[in-house]
Amino acid sequence: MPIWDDAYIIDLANRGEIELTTDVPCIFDRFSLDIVSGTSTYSLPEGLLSISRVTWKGDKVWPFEQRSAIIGNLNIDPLTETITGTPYLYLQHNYGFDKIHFWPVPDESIGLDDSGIWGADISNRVIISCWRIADPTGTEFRLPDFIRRRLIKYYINTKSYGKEGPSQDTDASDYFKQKYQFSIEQLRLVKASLPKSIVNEMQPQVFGGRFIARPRLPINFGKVVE
Amino acid sequence: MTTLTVIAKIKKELDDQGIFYTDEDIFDSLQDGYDELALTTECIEKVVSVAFPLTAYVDMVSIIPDYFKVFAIYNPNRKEFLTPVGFKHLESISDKWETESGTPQWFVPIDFKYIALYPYYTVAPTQNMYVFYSAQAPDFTSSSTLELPSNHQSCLEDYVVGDLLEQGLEFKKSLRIYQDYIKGVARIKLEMNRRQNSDRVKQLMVQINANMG
Repeated sequence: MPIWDDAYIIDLANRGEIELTTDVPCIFDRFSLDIVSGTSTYSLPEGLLSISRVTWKGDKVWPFEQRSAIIGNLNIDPLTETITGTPYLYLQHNYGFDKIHFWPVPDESIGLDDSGIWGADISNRVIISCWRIADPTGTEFRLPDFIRRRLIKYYINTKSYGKEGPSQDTDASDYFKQKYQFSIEQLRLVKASLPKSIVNEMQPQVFGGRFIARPRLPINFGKVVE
Repeated sequence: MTTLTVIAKIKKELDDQGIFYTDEDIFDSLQDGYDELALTTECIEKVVSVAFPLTAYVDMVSIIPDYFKVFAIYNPNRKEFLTPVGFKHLESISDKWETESGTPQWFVPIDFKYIALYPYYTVAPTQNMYVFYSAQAPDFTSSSTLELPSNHQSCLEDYVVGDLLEQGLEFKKSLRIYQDYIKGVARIKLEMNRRQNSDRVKQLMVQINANMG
């Protein structure tokens, strides 16, 4: 009887691939959203790690933070916001881990169709470019074979030899862990040597990067001074 | 050096003539080691002439099956190299770069599959572009010749010996050889880095000129 059954090893392989693509984002994806006029918050697909670019019919939609929205006096509450138009800002924080919120509220509906989002149809869709984790249940979002085979083998051996029970061998587990860490570091270096997609919060010209000065009251305002 | 020569050397190193480790075991480890070295050291460099699709994003694996990383693109129509940049650079040029057509001047290597071109051709140019890329290790046959610098082939042997000892649960012995392998990887990377990009490209330009007659 084998020490570890197939189901346990397959589970480790899946976990390993997900963990690896979380540690070293190396799967790029693009998808379109199904936009409904009057709705500003949309769900994002499972497995998305980070957004690198959002376009609205080819125009860039800029990432924005709650803090900047409050300072800029934008109403970003989905229940009370009233300004409609073509969105040029998006927010992710405070709308749930897997949500995106557009501002202003979209005033048109744009259908979902992923067939031309890598080229011909970019000007007609709302498209999100992102880094995502592997989906070991399918074939589309996987680590390339030439990377996956060895790294996942090291991961499985690290975990399975470390598992409590008669098969436990911590020396073997440490050995494979060392190999896994070396290989993942090498992968990280190769990936880092590609020109990076750095997504910082960028503010459109309308805010000019500076905010209107506000009068400040003295810190002892309201206190009785004898 | 051919695959069979390497296998013979490894058998000698392991003092095993097919009793404990079969040729198939050694062959599998050799392929794994070759895959890993090609990935970590980027030591297999190739150039190929390709017709890019007329889009901003290009799936490189679909047009170059052994592709894993681009390091230069040459446009013979303008006799110039495209400049590699990041997304942020393109966005500093134009917010709508994905939809703007023209003669490509920049490219973004995104991951191990996609690149983006800016601007992109909407009509196929007269001549195909040349892509200089780091390739995946090819699949071995018994008569394959290793595409590794000859002074670094011992690094691959170290990987295979270590891997086979690991399969025999000889972890301590394997770890000792693995340290040699890590040093070997560092040596290959150093040698690859010493070659300036311009020299690498010049070497590969010889292939372009040969292709163009």
